Amino acid sequence: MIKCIFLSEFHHTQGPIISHQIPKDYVSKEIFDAIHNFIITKSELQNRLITVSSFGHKYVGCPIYIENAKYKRNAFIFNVCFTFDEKTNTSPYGPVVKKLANYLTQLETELEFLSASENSERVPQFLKRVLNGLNHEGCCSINMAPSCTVHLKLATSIHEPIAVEDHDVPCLIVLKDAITKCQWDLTTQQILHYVDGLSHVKKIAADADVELNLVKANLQNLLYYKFIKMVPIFQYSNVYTVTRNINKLIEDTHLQKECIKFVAKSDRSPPEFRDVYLMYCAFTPGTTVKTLCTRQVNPHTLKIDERKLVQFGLMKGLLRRMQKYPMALPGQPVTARVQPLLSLLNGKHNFDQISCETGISHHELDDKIEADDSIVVCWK
Amino acid sequence: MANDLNPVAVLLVTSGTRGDRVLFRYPYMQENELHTSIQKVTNAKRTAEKNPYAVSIAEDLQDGKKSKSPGTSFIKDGVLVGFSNQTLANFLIVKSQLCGKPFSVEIDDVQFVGYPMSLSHLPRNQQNQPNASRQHNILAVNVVFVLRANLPESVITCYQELAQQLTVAIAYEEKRCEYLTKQAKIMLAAVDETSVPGADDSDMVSTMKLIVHHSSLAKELRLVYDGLMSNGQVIFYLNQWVEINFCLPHKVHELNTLGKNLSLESIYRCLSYLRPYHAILLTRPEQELFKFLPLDCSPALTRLIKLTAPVKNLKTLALETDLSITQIYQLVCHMVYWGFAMLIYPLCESNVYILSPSADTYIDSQLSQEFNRCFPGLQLTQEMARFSFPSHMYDNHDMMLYSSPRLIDRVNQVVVWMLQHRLLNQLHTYVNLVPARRKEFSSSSAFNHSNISSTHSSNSSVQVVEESYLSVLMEDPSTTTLDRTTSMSDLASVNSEESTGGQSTAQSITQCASQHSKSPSQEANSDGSITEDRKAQWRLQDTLLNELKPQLKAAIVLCPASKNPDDLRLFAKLCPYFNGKHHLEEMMFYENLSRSQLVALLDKFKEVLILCTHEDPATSLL
Repeated sequence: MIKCIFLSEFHHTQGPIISHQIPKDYVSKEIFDAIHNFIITKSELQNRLITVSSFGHKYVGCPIYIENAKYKRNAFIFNVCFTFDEKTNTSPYGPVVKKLANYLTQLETELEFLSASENSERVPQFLKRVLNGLNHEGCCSINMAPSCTVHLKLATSIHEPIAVEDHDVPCLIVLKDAITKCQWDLTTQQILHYVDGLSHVKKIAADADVELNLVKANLQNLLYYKFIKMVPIFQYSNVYTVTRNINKLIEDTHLQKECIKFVAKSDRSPPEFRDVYLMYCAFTPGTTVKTLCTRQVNPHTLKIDERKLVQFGLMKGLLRRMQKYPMALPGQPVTARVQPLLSLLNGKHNFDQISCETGISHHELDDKIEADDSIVVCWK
Repeated sequence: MANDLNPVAVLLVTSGTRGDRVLFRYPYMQENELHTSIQKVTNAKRTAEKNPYAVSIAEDLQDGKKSKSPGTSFIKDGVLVGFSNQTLANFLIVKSQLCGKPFSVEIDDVQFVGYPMSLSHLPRNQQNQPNASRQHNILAVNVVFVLRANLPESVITCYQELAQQLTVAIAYEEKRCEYLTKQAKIMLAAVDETSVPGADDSDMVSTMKLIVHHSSLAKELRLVYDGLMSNGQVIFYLNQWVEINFCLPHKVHELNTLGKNLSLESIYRCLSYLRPYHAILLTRPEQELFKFLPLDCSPALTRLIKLTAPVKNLKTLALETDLSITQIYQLVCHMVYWGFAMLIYPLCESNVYILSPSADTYIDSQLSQEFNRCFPGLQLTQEMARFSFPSHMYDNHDMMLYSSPRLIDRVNQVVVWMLQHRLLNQLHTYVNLVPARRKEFSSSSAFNHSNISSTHSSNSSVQVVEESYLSVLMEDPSTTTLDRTTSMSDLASVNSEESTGGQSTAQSITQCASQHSKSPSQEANSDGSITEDRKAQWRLQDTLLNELKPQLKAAIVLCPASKNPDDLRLFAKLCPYFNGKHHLEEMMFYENLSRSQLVALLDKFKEVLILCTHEDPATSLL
């Protein structure tokens, strides 16, 4: 929450002052005097985003110098500062402060919006609208001039897009209707049709007849909006292990209900919670889904869909996939069959990656590696 | 990334009667870069940080070609650039209102964290120095760390603490023996010596080298910076007098956990699970640790370090060191925070370990080379492969391979080494009390457990037992024999109240009547009537399981083992542990049980219990 927005400028006789403040008298004169050298700075720091923490508040501003002979000191120096509580994470506001400073620079150079005395009413009104807009709606669009509308929006933090692998499986985490309501581009629409929680990226690309990299880019976009989540591809030869988070399933009754609904084989007869829980706990290192289903529990009689059980577990972090890393022991001869793969057997590549890269099936790879004594396999 | 937590630079700024100065900065910058970057700042319009989702517009691309101006950064190759000393001095010396408080300013991608202190109140001994009026008096001082922006809040707080320690120590030394004034003189003399008239800022590197050479304060600041860069720990005596000790836990622990960024919270969370049955594992040899400890460290700590062993739990350590367990806790938390020790469950043969998901499996990793040095002849990859599946310290059937105790010892050492490097996680078994709903029992076999069949074979009799159990509890205790027909109505009401199974009462009543002969109660009473004995048992069951929900209670009494009062008593005692938060070892420790006793009990009640295996949150940091 922005506590206060104030406009500070360098007065030709009084020096740095707060010329407008919304709400009034939030930042006292004493505080401003103590920190004004970070707000009206030396010219080296102009156009830099400056955040000061003091007196239990954070002040985010961007000092601007407009040089022009028409001004009393040949330059107009101003800074629009946002004030926050000390604990606020101000990083989403940085770009907004900067953009606002740019808008005001434009308005000042074109219309003398800040310096002209007849605008002393309009500036606080403008700041008030910015404050209310950003605090209540997270954005604002204020028409200031025929050619200038101030658009400001708080963006959620931008992080590097998550890499999407060929063998990942996208799963919808919101209802399909909710997504299709949004207006997506044609490619996304086409892809969304094939996102069923079972097909992996490469298959979706083939089915939808869309270029693989386009599919990945689209999925990254959906990931960003948190409409989908990526899980590793489901195979009966996979090994999963239960994580500490499994306790959540016992404690959180909402999650329980959601889980039972999700993993049910048919909607009409949901499985027992105990059975679902028992099955999750049966996922231990070294047990493939296949052995689990044939020897330990019979998901069919328990009315559980094991695919969906795994998918739900991965999405909620109840299960973790254990990957297999084959490693050729250094200094030992390898058989001719694995010779072409040798560069991949350095402990950095897991079975999925090797399969995807070489096109060799898991089964075949397993055979090759098992036959060679100089290769050890780590699961982690 | 580990790199990001490192400081970019450390600065010493003073304000005196002759203006504000940056007395010392380390590492020194490359001068030629300074000028170009300043020009860039003023000339180039800074482009906003590139949004990875931004659509690249064709015109933009053309624009980019015309004016190649990437967003200027204040950090270049890990060195602070773009600020002249004068600029820095101007804004790092603050108004007196801000002195004595943590100070933090963020400018674009760098953050300045310091602790300004005013020295103007210090009494200056004018008499001793006849030319005091010409003396350069220092009025304020600030030790500032330059960090990368957007570090986690807890990291910034840590640096603020260090800056405060340093500034306060410098201020104290200034008061005691005018340390800062003397050092400032040396530094200024060095500046005068190297500076060429006309080109003032131009040769900073040689100036700073000279300063480090002459000034002990500069050496100390360099020591701080180097300590932070190498392992995140700083311990020394400022001016050989004031002790400075600091550790950046984020960094200390990251030495062990590659890749993942560790937050302070996860260390605290980990420590909140500290229990007396845990043990500590020193992360470095004892001797090395003693060298590191300050001279005046608590004797309790040295005693603890001397006596600790990975097989001793904290309770034993408390007895051996003659310290209270709370004191041991404090020492342990302290050591874990500083990265000297890590929490483990005491080593024993029954422990199950598995390869940690964060372990680096790369064949040629630094770790494997280190392993080769420690254990010549063994390969880390092979040892890691051994723990791909949950394994004990050494495989029991492989005992023949370990021909001599020396070899076994070596295997132990390997496990300890791998634990120290966080390659292994220990798995624990947790127990949850999750009863099936009752209709499960009357329906056909739902589980594939073979041993459940005993319950299934007498499905309906189970119902009988339960209902008679409930009816006895509802009944007036003075009645000696149970009249089935009179208790039917009670039974119905009890059933509808207490059971959620939704079993039709009428049906169970008929079952009662028809199947009565098959009831397990008959095993005890051949005449089919329910004796005082039986009722006493039910009452016992009721009182023992009083805390539980009726639904759970009903499910528990269905287990055959609940008829044995001893088993049931033990089960009732352990019930609070059956929530998935306490592992078997914890139960054994607190309830003084042997593993076989506990496992046998869990087996007897396996119809209502679910076992689950995962790591202990206290011993796994990630």
